[in-house]
Amino acid sequence: MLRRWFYNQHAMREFKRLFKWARSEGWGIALVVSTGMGIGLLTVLQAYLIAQIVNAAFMQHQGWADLDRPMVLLLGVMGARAGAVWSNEVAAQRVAVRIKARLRRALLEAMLRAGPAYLKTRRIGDLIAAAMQGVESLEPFFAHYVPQAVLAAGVPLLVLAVVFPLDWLTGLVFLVTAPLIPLFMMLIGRMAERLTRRQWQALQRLSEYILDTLQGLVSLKAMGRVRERETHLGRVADAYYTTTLTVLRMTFLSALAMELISTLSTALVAVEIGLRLLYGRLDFLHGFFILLIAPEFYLPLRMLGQRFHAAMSGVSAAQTIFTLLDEAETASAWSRVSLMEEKPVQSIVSLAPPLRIRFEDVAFTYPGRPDMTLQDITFEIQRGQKVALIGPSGAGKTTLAYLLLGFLQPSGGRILVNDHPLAQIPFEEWRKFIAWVPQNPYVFHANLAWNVRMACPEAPEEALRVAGRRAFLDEVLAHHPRAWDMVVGEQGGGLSGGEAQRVALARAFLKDAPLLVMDEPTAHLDPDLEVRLERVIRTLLEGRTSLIIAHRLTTIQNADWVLVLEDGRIVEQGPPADLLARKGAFYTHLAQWRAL
Amino acid sequence: MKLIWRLVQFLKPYSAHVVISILLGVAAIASSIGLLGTAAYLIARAALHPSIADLHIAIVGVRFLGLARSVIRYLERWVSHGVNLRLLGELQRWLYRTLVPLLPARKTELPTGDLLNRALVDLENLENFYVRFISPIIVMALTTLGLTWFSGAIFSGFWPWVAIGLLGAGGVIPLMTYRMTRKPALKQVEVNAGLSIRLVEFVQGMEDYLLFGQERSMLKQIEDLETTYHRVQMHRALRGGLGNGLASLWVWFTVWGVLGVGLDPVAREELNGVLWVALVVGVLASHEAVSAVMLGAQNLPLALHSAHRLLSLETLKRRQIAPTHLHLGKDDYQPDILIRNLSFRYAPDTPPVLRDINLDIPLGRRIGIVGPSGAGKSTLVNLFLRFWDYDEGEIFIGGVPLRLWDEASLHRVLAVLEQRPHIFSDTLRGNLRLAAPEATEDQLWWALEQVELADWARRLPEGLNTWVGNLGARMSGGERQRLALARLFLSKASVIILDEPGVHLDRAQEARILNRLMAWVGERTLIWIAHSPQGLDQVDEIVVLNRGEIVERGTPHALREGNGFFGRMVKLSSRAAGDVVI
Repeated sequence: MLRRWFYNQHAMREFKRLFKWARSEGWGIALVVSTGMGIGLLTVLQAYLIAQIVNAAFMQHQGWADLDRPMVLLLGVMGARAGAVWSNEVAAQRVAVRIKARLRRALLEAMLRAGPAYLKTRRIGDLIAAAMQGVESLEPFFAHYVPQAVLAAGVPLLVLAVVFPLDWLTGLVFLVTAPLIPLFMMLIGRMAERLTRRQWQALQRLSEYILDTLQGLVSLKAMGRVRERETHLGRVADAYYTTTLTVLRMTFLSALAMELISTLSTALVAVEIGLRLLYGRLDFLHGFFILLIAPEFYLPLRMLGQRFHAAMSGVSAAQTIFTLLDEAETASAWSRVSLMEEKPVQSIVSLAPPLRIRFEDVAFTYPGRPDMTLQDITFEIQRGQKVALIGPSGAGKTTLAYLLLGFLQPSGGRILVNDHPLAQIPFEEWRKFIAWVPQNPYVFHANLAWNVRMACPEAPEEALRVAGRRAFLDEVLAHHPRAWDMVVGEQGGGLSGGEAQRVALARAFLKDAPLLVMDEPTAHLDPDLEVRLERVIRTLLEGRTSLIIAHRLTTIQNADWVLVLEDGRIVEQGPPADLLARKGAFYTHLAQWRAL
Repeated sequence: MKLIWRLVQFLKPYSAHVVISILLGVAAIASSIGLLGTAAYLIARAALHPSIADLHIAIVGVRFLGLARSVIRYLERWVSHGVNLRLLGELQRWLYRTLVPLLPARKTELPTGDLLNRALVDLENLENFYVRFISPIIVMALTTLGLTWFSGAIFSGFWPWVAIGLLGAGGVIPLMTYRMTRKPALKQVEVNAGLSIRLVEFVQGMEDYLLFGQERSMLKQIEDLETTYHRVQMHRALRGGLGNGLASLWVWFTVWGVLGVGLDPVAREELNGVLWVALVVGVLASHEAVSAVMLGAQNLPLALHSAHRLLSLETLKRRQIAPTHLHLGKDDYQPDILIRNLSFRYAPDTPPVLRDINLDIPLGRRIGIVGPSGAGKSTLVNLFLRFWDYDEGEIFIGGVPLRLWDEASLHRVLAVLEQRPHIFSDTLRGNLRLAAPEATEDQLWWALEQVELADWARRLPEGLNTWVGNLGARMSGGERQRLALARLFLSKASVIILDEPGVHLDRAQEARILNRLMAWVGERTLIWIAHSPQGLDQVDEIVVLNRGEIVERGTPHALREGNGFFGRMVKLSSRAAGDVVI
């Protein structure tokens, strides 16, 4: 019965998987179980000693002189019980902390194997929430619920085993009432589950609404809608209270049922013992002992009910985490990133720069993402050539770049680098040949030097300076007293778009790789800066083979070759001048621009 | 202490509920102690073989208390959680009202980067403040008083034991536990925040660190933090567990003491043994009240930390604007704008962002404001929105100084497209209606037509009812900008301020939409802040700002030919450096 209630229909799968994670903490769990059983034993022993002492003084008129030994023993039992409580708590916490760390690690590794393309298909916020708050909310499950489940299973059995030989009638009362508690919990829990889910949604909506309001506060002020929003906020909050109160009514009801059973049983036992004492059918020692132990019999079961709700929220978090794990596992089939080995990868082929790249009938599909589909991609980048890739958003430009970068593997056709199939070059090896300048480069929470040097950690100080100078980064440095030591990213204050761009360019200079893949920025910068950055990019491109997702006319005009991508296919390619003369798709794009 | 007092203040409006729930809490504990005490009394009494009539009251008492305990507990939960939810609502509204005057003016000074997310977490930590902290402490105090009185009434030797025992278990040890776990608890928050930052980087920066072969160093950093986190958590568990063990031990000691003190008097029959038995069991049952206090003590550091962070918002200096109540009717004024000797700096020790600006913008005039980044263009918009108040000089709208306008009237006159417009997590219709609550369905579609989003919206399965909250993340920058522009098209204001309207739009589309916007502006006043010269031909005058000063002004035609900033901007632009094709 209890077991079935544990494995509540919906949560069953997650429960099983969570227990699987717990199983690998064998020793920790064993410690939790043994201290838990120790607590149970000591509880019974303490009750027995108290009953004995009271009996001796009350019924047999014995004083300190006769009772010094049981009194000292009682003191010892109390101390031991407190110690057991302590070690049980610590052991459970240790299990929880270790499982959390392992789960988080597994999640991160799965994300890494699935690669950046997978991350693009999910909302970043969800992923971070799962790895952070999601994993954290498993703590109540492992630190509180699991040990309590152990106690709930063990202590009542122990009490029954002690009580039955002493007084079968009370034993029978216990035996009959005990299963009622989980039964009621199960019945009401089932009803409450639907409500709990609704309340969970209401809570989500409320916090989303508040967050949204706070984030949009400036817009609200700009539109003069601050007051109205406050009124509305009150209304959303009211809706939340209403659902919450309904749910609480249910959970309180289940608590009421459980408490009624346990307190009324205690009362029943007390009266029944009292009456038998009255007629001399039971002695005081046993009667009092049973009274002392009765609450301890019900307590673990009641506590389990209280912790069940905390555990449920952990289980629903587990649901999200396991879904992500499975998804990432599936997604890693498309990814070429496999980096868990510590040993350095042996170079299999020798690639002499400058590189020559060939795509032969490359195709790619990603389930559920039509915008990531590519078909019949065939083109060549000659040694040292600049190829511009253009097309509307959603045409698959990023996917194509990801294939070349090695994040994804083609589902058909092949990519050749200097006539070697890219598939035979491990990602760890291949990435040494690439410099990547994304549209929105990521700046890490560290100092500026680290942020540039990450491109080539072993680079000497001088190389860093040169790279900085070449990317016009020294202008940014001049404005900040701490120069290269300036902490950027997250809390250190972000860099502006133009500044982040220069960091990315400095990284590319420092890495000095033979293949450059770049996604041009689209944001408006002020004209002086644009002209200078353009010059920087031109020096960077010199002598390198490059693929540029181009957004600017100059870039396209200066390219040796242009690929026009539409709906996952190359609809046109050739030197820009030829394409212009052909008056096809390329011409249409430019004409749109000219029409202004 | 001050913090706790401040938090208690939030409860004031619900004091009646609070009193009732505390009384119920005390009654619940009392009946729970009473149940076991009476049961013990019953058994002890029965052991002496009195007549059944003597047991009658005790039997009734046991049954009654058994029932009462559960029912009272149920009522107590009911009332106290109601207080809880109301407190949460109160805190939410308080947060909103506190932040309204602070944003965006004080954004940089607000505690840390991701303030808003944290504010929500902090609210959640405080949500249970009443149920977890205030109520258990009062219940514990009253329980101690009651049991001490009862024990003293039976036998004078008991009460010091009971008083010291319960004060220790429910007062000293919880306080000690709070002191012991405070540091690790706060450290845990700190490490957790650090871990969050690294995880964000791990997810968002994956492209970059993967290609530079840094994934191991990323994982290593996370692992190191995880190790620290592990240590801190265990530290906290060790101390918290110690506190729990000690608190239980202390209750049991008290029981032991009552046993020991009573042994001889009971044996000698100087003390009523039946009452002694009842007291022993009653003290044992007070453990329930102690557990509740201990639970609170362990969570208190986090709650106080959250409270501190939230309440520190109150101490941040507000924008120095007296609320005004000058309501202006619709036709009382002609909203000509006069800017006179306007100067502004963000903080007293920073250089001025705007210096001695003078500008006349009569109704219907269109002016463009250009200049390099950092020239003070957006600051000017912020002053119009009254995010900040200017230091010197004056902005007059319709002859009335800007600082005298009340918000509602001002927004009837002024419509602003700010730099990073927020798309609300609402339906498409909700987002549009935000700008114009009374707009008809036709007007909404018309506005979407103007920004070329109508086809897109028609293709959506739920049309205007589509929830853009989920879509918002997937809406491209261009689509967001156009939705914000659509909101502008719905406005009825007579002064329009645009801060880089064409950002994120492709060039052809930008031109088409701006043309429509110009047609719509018609006789309205237009102030247009721009980075690129595109479209600026259509304004009457161009003002070039540099380092907070007006350095050039004139018609677009005149400035275009000149060698000033605008002339250079046009030339550079026509050299195609900034031409965005796709």
